[in-house]
Amino acid sequence: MKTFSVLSCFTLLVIACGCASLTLSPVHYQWPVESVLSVDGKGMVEESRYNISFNVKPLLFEETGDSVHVAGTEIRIIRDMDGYYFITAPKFKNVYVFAPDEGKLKLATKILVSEKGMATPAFNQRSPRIELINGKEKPIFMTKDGIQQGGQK
Amino acid sequence: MKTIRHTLIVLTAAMAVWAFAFAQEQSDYEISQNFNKEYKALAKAIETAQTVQECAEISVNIDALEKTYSPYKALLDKTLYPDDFQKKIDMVHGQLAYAQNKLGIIQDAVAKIASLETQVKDLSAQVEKLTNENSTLLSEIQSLRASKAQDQKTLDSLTTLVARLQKSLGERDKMIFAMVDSIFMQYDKNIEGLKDVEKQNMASHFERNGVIGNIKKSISDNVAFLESTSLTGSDLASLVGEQKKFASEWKGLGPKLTAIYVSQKNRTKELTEIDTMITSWGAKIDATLWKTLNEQFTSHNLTVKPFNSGETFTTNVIGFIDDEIQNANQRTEAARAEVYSTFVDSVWNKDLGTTWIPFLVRDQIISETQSNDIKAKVDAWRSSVQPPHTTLYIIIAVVVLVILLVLYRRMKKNPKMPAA
Repeated sequence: MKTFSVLSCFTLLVIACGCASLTLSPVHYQWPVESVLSVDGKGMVEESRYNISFNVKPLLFEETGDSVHVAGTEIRIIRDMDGYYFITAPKFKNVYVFAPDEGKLKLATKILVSEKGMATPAFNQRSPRIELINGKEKPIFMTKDGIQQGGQK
Repeated sequence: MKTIRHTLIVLTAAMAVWAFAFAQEQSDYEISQNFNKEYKALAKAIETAQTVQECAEISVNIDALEKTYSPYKALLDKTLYPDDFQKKIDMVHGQLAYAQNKLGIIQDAVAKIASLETQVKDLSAQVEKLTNENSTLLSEIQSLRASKAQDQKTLDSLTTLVARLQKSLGERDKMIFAMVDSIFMQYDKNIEGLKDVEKQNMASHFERNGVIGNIKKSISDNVAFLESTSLTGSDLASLVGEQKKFASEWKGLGPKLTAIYVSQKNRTKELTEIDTMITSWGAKIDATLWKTLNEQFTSHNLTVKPFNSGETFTTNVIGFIDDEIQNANQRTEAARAEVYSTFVDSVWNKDLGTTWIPFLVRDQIISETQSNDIKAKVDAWRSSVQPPHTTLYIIIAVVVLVILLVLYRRMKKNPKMPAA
């Protein structure tokens, strides 16, 4: 009986290890083009094509200090090749990079772009990087680790 | 009709926004959004199209949409998923073909008008380009003139700029009338035969291409050019020709436009303004012409009485030469010869006889007879200051005789020695 229990445990362990080591790669999560999402009264945004919705109130509070007057705010979001979400909006000083997690988005990096705030930011997918443009200013290339080329480092 | 106009305005506005966006760094999102906006505007225009001209214009706009966005095909293929760029273009072509079929419009007619509309669009773009170029050239000329620099380099630059602007103004004028012709040809009817709706349609076609504004701009640019710099005889000859050509084209076009804009008071008023502008342009050219021609004489201290018409020009130039011939005995031969050579070398041979007189005759400002009278008078003046040819021949003959006589005498004095 004791031998049977040991064998069973060993077999389960082998199966569990086998499952955990199964990896599919490469995976390309990138969106071809950014999405411009409007915040509703509850602070939610919804991207219908990629079927994702989340609450941006904490993000808006972090950037502007206001989480009340959020309705109608437009945020710009794009996903990079590794699956990180890059989010910003007009008047934002930063680009926020979020990693997906179970039922939440966790801040991975906060990238300072402009002390004055950006007037018309927009993302372009330039895999493996994300391009941030802001009016006539020089484009900035970034990854989840920060600015790679152009702008402040 | 209003919907179509509205749609086309939206389309134009979308293109303007698009152009603005492209002047800066490009956003893929904006490219995709603008494509969708323009596409929707075209689809809406197809729904409301009623005439062959409208269908043709839409067809041209579809081609323009395809041409403009084909560099972004890869991006649009992704953003338009589950459709793609080519599928979208094919769909809108199909939608237009269906609408034409429903309206009983033959594809050949659309193709013919679409080709004319493409010409209109090309010409319109070129007119805009030349307008910008001309403004730059004009301000360069004005700034060079304002600098009052007289060095050779500045003068050469000025001459080059004047020549370029003159050429460019002429091309622009030509393109505007060609554009108007291409619009008229699309309707293939006499103006009188057009219904009110068709007239409105045609008027909005002219509006979209800024025909009246462009004509006014052409005239004001030509006048500004005239006032900006001093011009040579050949420059003026060409400008007079340009003004006459423009006036003649307008003579044909003006009444047609008046008939089309009959119900729009503001536009009718503008058309009358164009008549006045062309007349004023003509008067200014005329004044500049006589001023420049008078300066031909005054700048060389030749006392020709001022003139301001073909008649007074002929009379005063002949009068001046007559005075020179008749008062010959009252001055020294050297003084007479100097006035004559100034006239011939600096005025007659340089510009007056070679450029001005042929141009004045060609443009019927003076008659052939008046031209011949002036030439004959110049010949008479030459004879009065130079020895006549017969005298010259006699002098040559005498000199030859004297030489022969001298040789003969020498030969006589030194007879040949007999051979040894």
